[in-house]
Amino acid sequence: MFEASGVRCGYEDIDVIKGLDFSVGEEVFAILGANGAGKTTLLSAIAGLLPLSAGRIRFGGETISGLPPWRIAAMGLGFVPQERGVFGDLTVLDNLRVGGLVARQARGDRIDEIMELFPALAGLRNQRAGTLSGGETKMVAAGRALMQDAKLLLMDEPTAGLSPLYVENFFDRIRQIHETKQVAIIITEQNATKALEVADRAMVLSLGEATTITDAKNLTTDQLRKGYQI
Amino acid sequence: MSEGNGQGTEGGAAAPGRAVIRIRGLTKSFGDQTVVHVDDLVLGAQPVEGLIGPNGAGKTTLMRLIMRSTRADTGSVTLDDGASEVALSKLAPHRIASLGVVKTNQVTQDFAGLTIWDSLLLAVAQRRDERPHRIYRERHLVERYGEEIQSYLDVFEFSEPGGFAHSTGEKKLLDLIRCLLLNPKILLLDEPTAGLPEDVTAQVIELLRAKVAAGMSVIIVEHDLDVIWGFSDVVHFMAEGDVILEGDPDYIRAHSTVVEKYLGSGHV
Repeated sequence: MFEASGVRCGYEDIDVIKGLDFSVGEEVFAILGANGAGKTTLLSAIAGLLPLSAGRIRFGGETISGLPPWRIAAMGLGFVPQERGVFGDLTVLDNLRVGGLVARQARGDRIDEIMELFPALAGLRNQRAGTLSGGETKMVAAGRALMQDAKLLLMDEPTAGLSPLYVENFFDRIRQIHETKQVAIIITEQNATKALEVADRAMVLSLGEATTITDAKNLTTDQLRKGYQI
Repeated sequence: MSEGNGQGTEGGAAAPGRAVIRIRGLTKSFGDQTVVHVDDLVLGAQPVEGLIGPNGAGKTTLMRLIMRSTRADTGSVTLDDGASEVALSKLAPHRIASLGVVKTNQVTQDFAGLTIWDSLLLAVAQRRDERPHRIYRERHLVERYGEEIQSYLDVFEFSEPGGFAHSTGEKKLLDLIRCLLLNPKILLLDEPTAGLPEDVTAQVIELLRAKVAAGMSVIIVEHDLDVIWGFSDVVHFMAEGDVILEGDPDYIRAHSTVVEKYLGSGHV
């Protein structure tokens, strides 16, 4: 379903990601690593927001590296960025509707599902997204990506800034979304313990290179420490 | 008005020499949604005070109202150092900072055109002009602040301070260092460890503990409960725009309202 080969990318002349090869199937795939390891850079490149300096990314049998982000999104790749990622001047409801423009399922049903996932949003339907709290903004961004008929969801630190109650709920739902909707998920997360509970496999990134790619349940503390260089 | 257990919070009296923030009748609405309505609240009476609550409770807005980066609809915020009371709610944010009340940002703020080192010098520069050549003209600051800046860079293992910060975590740490360089009396922290790995979070808290021991007060909004329970002397619980409970960490974490609205049963 997804395959990255020889991927290098970064900013200006400096490669942050220094040659990555990995593939993701119908699974939940966690990317772990210290700050500066390149997790956000990698997800931005997959979503088409950052050009590759070398290598190739394939998704659903087609090469997507080099395509504009909207084409990649229309092919079924949803992206939940680490910060912001909502249209501040639109209401919560309109933000969700924007995400649903490429969905096949009736948008109303999908919106009800999002509200069930994030009950805090139900009372904020008509509020401008720019006036929401940080945590609420994250819920809208995640909800909008779920509105899409995504085959693969990229989630960049989706639980940072969410209250404990929602963090628990969110990890439960990630598994549920994956299983009921057959959506593959790539998730970066600082909460390694939680991420490994819901992930099938994990990759540990260190300074732009993969130090380990393994089944989540087999990832050892030593492998994690090596990645985090502690 | 909040309910409390009285341990360490009675009357909001400041410890000797410790300035407090007094909030009275403070309200803020966005459209028809009232996000903050705090009748009477004292922050900073204890060295470390946690401010927790569900997403949308109004924590960030309250912090922004204190710094006046968001204007209140009604009410006042004052800084009381025991000798005099200054109305912060009539001052510009940079004046509030110069009085020793400083805040980090929840959403990382960055100076994309500045190297790590220059972005830190900017915090102490007389001319707050972020153009690199302007900062270059204030190189004398290196003599005065160079050692302190280097000590912070060493704590967080920034190996290339002449380069640019790329990751959100790095930018968050630089935001914190910029605030510390201002030598604040009261440091407001808005989710300082969100998105940081555990070992870096521990480094942040260790650094803050040292600053608190030297007399700085901390008011911290955070969802990392290990940080809140382990670091705070007193915790304020905010919901629907108001602080409804305050007390020591053990009291707050066991309170049924906090469990129901915020923690969930998994954290009891």
